Amino acid sequence: MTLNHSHRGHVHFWTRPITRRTFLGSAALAGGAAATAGAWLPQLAKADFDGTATVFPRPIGIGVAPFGIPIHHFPPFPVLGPAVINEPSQITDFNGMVGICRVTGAGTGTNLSTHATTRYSYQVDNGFMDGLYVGEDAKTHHGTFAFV
Amino acid sequence: MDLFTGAVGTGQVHDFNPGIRDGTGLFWTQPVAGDAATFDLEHGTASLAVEDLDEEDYHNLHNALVDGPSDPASVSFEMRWQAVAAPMNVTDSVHRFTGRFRLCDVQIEWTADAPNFHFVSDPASTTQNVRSVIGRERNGVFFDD
Repeated sequence: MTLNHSHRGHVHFWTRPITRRTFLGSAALAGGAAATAGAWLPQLAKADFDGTATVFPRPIGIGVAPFGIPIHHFPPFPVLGPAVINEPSQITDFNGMVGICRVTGAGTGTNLSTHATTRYSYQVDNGFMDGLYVGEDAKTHHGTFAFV
Repeated sequence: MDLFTGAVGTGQVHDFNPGIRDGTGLFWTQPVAGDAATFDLEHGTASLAVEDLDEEDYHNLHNALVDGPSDPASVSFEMRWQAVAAPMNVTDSVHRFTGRFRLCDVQIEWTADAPNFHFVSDPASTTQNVRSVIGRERNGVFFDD
């Protein structure tokens, strides 16, 4: 494994220039109070939200602490209780559809310099959240987010 | 999305994720186009498909959690959830989330690109499901709605 230490202090993806993704604009809901969101749902179901959210959501509370480092996340497995599933969403103040998974498998990696190939095993914990959320700006928005 | 030279959990060499958001701690979560995800809870299906999504390669979990050195990377994937159990209503008043959920099987095909490296997963049919869920959820200020 070779780490690129010159990349320390890197710029996270959300602050880089947008080169690969197309931002189509926010689907922010004007001035929406969370308490009234339920009444908006029928209208939201008819709206077009194919754009990409531009206001970030806020995380759920502290979940697990791998290596003693608290993070805002519960893995789908093992189930920690008291419910029969762990909190699937990564974002709080959220009302919508969620998906989460833990899967494993295998694949092939290629060194692009030597063209040598290597077999790898993988674990993927991915998911999505799609619906209403209260963003960092304290306003209610609709957005789709991937957990990667 | 983690790669290992040995069995899962052994010899991790790649850890692709978008990073932990500064200031809030939002964990490995990034916006995607609204049509990237599809779902039909009653029929027990969902999907998530993205192409060339910007990520960081932190190479291992600990390095990712401490926001250590990383390489720019990207991933593309298509994954499908298929319910394997009936819908169930769940309310967890400790963690304050509630909703209707279904346990699922998931299949995925994915690729990753990092400096001087390209990865292609085996076909989706070879995916081993550990634990997967889809559902409709409310939490936070919506918990008591």
